[in-house]
Amino acid sequence: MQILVYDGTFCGFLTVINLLFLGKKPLDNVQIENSRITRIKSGLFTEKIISKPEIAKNFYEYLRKNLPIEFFKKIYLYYLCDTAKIEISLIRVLKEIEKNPIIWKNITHTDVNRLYQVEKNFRREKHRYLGVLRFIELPERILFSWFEPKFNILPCIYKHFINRFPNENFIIFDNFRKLIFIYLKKKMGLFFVDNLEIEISYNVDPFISFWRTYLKEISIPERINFERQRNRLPLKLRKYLPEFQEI
Amino acid sequence: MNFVNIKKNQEIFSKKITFYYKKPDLLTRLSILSMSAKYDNSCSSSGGKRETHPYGIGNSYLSGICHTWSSDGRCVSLLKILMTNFCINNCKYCINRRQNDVPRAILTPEEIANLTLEFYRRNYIEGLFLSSGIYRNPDYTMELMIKAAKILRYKYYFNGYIHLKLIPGASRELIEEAFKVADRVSSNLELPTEESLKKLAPDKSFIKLYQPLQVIRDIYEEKQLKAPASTQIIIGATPDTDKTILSVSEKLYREKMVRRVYYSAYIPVNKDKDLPDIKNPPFLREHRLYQADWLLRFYGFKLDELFENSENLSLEIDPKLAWALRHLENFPIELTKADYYELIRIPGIGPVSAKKIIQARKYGELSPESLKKLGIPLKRAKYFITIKGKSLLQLNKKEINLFKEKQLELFPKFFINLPCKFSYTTVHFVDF
Repeated sequence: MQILVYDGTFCGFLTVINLLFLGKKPLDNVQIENSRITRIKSGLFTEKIISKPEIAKNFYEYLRKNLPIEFFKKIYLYYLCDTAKIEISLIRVLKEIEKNPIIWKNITHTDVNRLYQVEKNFRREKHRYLGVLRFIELPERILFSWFEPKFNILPCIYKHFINRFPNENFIIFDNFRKLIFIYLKKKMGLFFVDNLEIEISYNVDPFISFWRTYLKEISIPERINFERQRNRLPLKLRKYLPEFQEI
Repeated sequence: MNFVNIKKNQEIFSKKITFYYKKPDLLTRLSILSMSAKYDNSCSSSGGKRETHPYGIGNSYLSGICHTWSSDGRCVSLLKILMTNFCINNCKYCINRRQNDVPRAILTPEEIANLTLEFYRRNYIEGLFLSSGIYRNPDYTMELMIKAAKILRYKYYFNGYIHLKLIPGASRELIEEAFKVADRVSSNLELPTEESLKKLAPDKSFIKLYQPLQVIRDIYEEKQLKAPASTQIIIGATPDTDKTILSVSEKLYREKMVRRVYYSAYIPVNKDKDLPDIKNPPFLREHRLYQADWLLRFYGFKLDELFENSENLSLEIDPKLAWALRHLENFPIELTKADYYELIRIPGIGPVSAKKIIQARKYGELSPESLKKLGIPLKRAKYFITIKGKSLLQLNKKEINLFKEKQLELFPKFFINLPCKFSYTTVHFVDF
């Protein structure tokens, strides 16, 4: 088993895909890992792949020319599904598209189906966090939010919040990938911040108690169904929701 | 001496006055008014198409967003609140009826706007759902509600979702004004017939409740779409049948008066001789009505198809399965050839699965394995479908024996007189 570790950037992702796409090695014995989220950093069978912007750019252009446009648009999305480990399935589909350009539409094909399922989960996760992300007001009316999504959805959701709160100042922090998005005085930035640890006191914001009171009163006692609530809102999501924290 | 005593007494009296008449703080009022609003089932935030104002805050998300789920498992996407629970009406089923001794409170339009805005900034909600008891008179109440919505829209340039409850009896001008500032409006019909209303809500009449919806339909006349309005009907407070309830809904959909009818199982909160004495609210009946409502709106079913033998829906099985069992002559359906509308009539297969099947068979072959891969549930559908002429029903030995025993139990006398033994291994359910 050979383990290829890339640096977690889109450039690194394209470099490693390009390497296996052009190579003639059988794909069954290869595993691809993202160094930002994997525990496997080094080992006997581990090979660190260094990002090569020139190769990545050429490969991206090659894909743009040779792939159907709808499928090409999904490449970046597959990169964001970092925990799903779909890189090998993606390479297999890319290879098959050369022979059969409409294979990516056949959702009964094993690899296509895998990509389809993961894409569906990604979109579900993205939509869920449009609602479940919470902001806490810090001094000087800065809104701060942190979360730990399953997939790297922050690059996809920040536009929604810019559209929604164009005149606010806010920060969104992905605590798992250490990826931060900052929107201050209409200037924005998205970057990785290693070694950033944050502690939040939920007493800072007075509206949390209003929100908790509202939620408590809005449920109908005769309909109480914690199982249904848990199905809709799993416990893993509640870690960053102020309404479920003890104050 | 006397003067001092008088002064002391005055101080004590003024303290008492302030104690008794002190306006509850915002948190207490929020608590009272959200508790009073909880029996309204509507909490949808879909259908809005507003973009953010350059100087403002908020936009609408077409498909709606759920922000959290309360302990009863219902999605919370709006700040659902009453402006006041003071009410001049005395509806027998309502917790806020005039004669009830419950804590009462009122929020000012400015307070409602501020709460909505602060909740919205923290991404707690998609917008506001504002309802109210009737305070002084319908016009005055409607005016205050519109004022709250206008503060949000024109003072803070808030373009999030706003749902306003239309107050029955309010003037046409005010209803038109409410419709301008809101994304969706609603007027609850409460009960499906005039007799039921007379019995339980003597201050209301069907025409009075229907009139706001008619005004909205008139405004929306040039558009062929359903009016962006909704309504709610209480289930189980009166002896009205499911057919009566659904015929009201079907008429509303046909005339494009509303986009959606909500059904609310009657929960006893008051005691009255005219109210049914029930221990368990009819939640299952409510669920079946929602299923039937979906069949009417999205599956192309007609009302008569759902009620062929009885006036009520079966509680044991869902309405689509009940229809399929009554019409076995239409089955089995061949998955490789059936069109979309045939597919969605198969029990267990809905619009999502039907679309998947159509896409899958375009580019590849269908098989039981591929259906599993696509995530299509076959638990119920397998009895009603074939793939390339083959049934998907495969019984193992245990099931065959169970089937055998159950079948024989049904015909004990017949079984005794049987001249020979039957072999059940080749029997398929769909053959019957």
